[in-house]
Amino acid sequence: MPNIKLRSSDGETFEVDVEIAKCSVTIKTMLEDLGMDEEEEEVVPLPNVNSAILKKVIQWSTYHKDDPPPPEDDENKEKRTDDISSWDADFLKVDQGTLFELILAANYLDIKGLLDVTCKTVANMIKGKAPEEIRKTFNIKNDFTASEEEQVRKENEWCEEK
Amino acid sequence: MAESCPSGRSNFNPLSSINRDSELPKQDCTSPSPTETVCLESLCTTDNAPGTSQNHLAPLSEKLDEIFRISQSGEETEKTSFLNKLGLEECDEEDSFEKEENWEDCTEGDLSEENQELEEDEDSSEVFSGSPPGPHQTTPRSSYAKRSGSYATDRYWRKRKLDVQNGFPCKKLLPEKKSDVTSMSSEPSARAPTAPETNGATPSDKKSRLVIPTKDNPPPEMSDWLTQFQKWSNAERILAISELIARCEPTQVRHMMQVIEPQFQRDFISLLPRELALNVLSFLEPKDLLRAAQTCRSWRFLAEDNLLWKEKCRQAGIDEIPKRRCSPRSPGTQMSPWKAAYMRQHAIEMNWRSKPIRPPKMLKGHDDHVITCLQFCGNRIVSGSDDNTLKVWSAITGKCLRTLVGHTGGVWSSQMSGATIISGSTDRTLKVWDAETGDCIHTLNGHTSTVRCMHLHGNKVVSGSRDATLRVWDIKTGACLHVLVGHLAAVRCVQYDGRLVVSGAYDYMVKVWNPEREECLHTLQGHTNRVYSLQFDGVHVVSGSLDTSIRVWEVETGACKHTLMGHQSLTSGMELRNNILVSGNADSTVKVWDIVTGQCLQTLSGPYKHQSAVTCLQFNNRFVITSSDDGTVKLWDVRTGEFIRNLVALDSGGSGGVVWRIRANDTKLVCAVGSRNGTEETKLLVLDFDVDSNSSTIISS
Repeated sequence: MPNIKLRSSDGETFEVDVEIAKCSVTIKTMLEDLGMDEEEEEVVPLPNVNSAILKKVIQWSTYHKDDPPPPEDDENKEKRTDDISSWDADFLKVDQGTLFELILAANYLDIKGLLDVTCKTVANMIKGKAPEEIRKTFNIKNDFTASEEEQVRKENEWCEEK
Repeated sequence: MAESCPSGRSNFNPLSSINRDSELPKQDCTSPSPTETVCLESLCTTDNAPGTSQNHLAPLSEKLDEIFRISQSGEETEKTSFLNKLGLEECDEEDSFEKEENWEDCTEGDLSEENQELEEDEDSSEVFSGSPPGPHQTTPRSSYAKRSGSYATDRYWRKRKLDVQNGFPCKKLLPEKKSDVTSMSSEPSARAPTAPETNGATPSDKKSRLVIPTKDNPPPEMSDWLTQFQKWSNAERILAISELIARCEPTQVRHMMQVIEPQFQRDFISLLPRELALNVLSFLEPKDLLRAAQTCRSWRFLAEDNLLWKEKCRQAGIDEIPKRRCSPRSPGTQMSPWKAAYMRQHAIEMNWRSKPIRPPKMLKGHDDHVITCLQFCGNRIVSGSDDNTLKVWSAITGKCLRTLVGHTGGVWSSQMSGATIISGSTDRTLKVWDAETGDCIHTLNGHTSTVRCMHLHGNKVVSGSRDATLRVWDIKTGACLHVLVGHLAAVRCVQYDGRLVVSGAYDYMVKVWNPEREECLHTLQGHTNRVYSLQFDGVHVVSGSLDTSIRVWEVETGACKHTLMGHQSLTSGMELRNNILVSGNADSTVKVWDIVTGQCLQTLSGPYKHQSAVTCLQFNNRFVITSSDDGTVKLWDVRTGEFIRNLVALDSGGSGGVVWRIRANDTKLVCAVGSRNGTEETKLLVLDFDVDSNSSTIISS
């Protein structure tokens, strides 16, 4: 398998199997559009991804390289968050800052599987929590005025079954 | 580190401090305020001055030992101070402030000035170069504070007091006692910078240190320790931190965690680009979205996104925004229309499920006769009876609008479309009525016995009769278009989709017809008793029989795909939607089937099951509603098969009162009830589960 070199924002170069790199639609398109010759010692610059995150992304892509391509139109699929594989769950046991950057990187590199699983992970951090618990989880400042808060509470009251 | 100036204790929220206190019993003075913390990481990565990383390892172990020694000697606070200086925490002034009894007022001007100085001086090692305060400084706090009035000294006293409190569990100490305590604990006590005469430092030193540059008053050794730390390389600092942590008590490590954790928190929803934040939110259930909206303004804004809620609506099977007669919302608080639709739907669902049921409207009529058939469309209800009449009712007012008189025998079947009503009778005719005027437009003659069933599609109605034939009629002209002959006994049920006619009869047969050519395409054989009920979705024919089985047939080939076994008696009523079949049986149970696999998904029974034959049913993607000869109407969860509650329970249930027929739309339920023995007067009950009428009743009441 031919390799390709990826350069992170902080100048570190990673040599990766082309097929793994092509998990990223961004890189795939770049290679196709620019007709980058795999023989050449071309380096793909990724100015929006630092080396620590790129390392994680490559790790994820390597593990998932044989995954079937994501369905084109999953508009009508039910949005589940309980289907994260245990490998992914382990992989995403990172601090919020890293998770945050992974989402940005997955978006920039256009890796749908990684974007989905990272967003699901954040959604799971929100699920089932009261507003105050959510604030605590993400270090959010409550910037509602007292009257606003009351109105928001009313507006978003969820009728529960007894 | 800048804090707002307390001009008095009332500025503080007492709750916050109570909470923190209760969360952190016996802990250090502080729970770190995230905005005030200094990142450990940043300390590690700060570059040293060049050439300062030599010969540091010896000082490191020395300093660590020193810390260790301090911790061994029980000086928790000192150790914490070290950590503070390391950037691991800062004293939360508010908390310590809370603990003061007679706090000196300090003006905002004082404070901001002080803060400025503090910030400027913060990293200057000079700040720590002054001589340590004397070990036995014991100036009582109150008098001292009064004298100085300076913020720095205020801070000093706050810190001191806290240290004392941390050392000893008692809540408040008198100033006099404090000195005892501090000396007892052999702490290098009371480093009061403004009390030069006791600590041996020169007056000029004192002056420069009048302003203490940090939130606390560190032990003198700490500055050296920190200076040293700052000289080290990244690797050395990491080693130092590891070693430091290894020497910490669990409570101190936990404290570090609390200080560090917020550094790694991210407000994903506010900080991510909008489309990514929405992608995260799209994975949330509506309930979680509502909670998310209550956290802060930016979350609220995103959690209100209309497309987000449109998707939630689609998942919940809501495909249009209901038109509102008037908007009850005040201007300026625009709720997403799809969210409003979702919320309304949910509120209605809760009304069905669990909210108190409003007293039903009672529509009395047909004397003590049986209501044999029931139609409900829009706001119009039509009941047919064996008293030879039909009645048209308003579902809103409950008034009887028209009585359709003309049949000379009992009415046993009916259909309705817009303002047109068609009825079938034991008088062998069908009649076409105008619901508005109550006029009979056509009388359709041809059958030679009771018209027992019919199905309307467009302008054509297909009727089945005890004469064993079916007839296709044009309801506009009243003409009989076709006669379908072939059954050997009474036709009991019929379905027509505009293309094919399917009929079930007492000859145990189900037939598929091409009505135009009056041709029987398939005779579906297999039932071993009378066929009473049919469903037809254009692909599958489902037939229910007195032989207790339900059969699923393929209409194109006539092949029997499944025989659904499980009921013990006559299947009297069925409904089929999206390959899900719900069947009501005289055995008093209801079953939910997947007709593709032939599996029984749910049996609606259990302790709250009907006590007698199921007479009628209806279902949607949430609920099954069933009625029974036991005088009840029950609501079930279609997905879980769980009984939810009785929507109707006649007092006369079990002693004669029965529910013959039910019809429901999203917000209303119509029940035809009565009895054969006079225990229950014949009537219609209309139950309303709407939210809008809910609020209108509140207003009107």
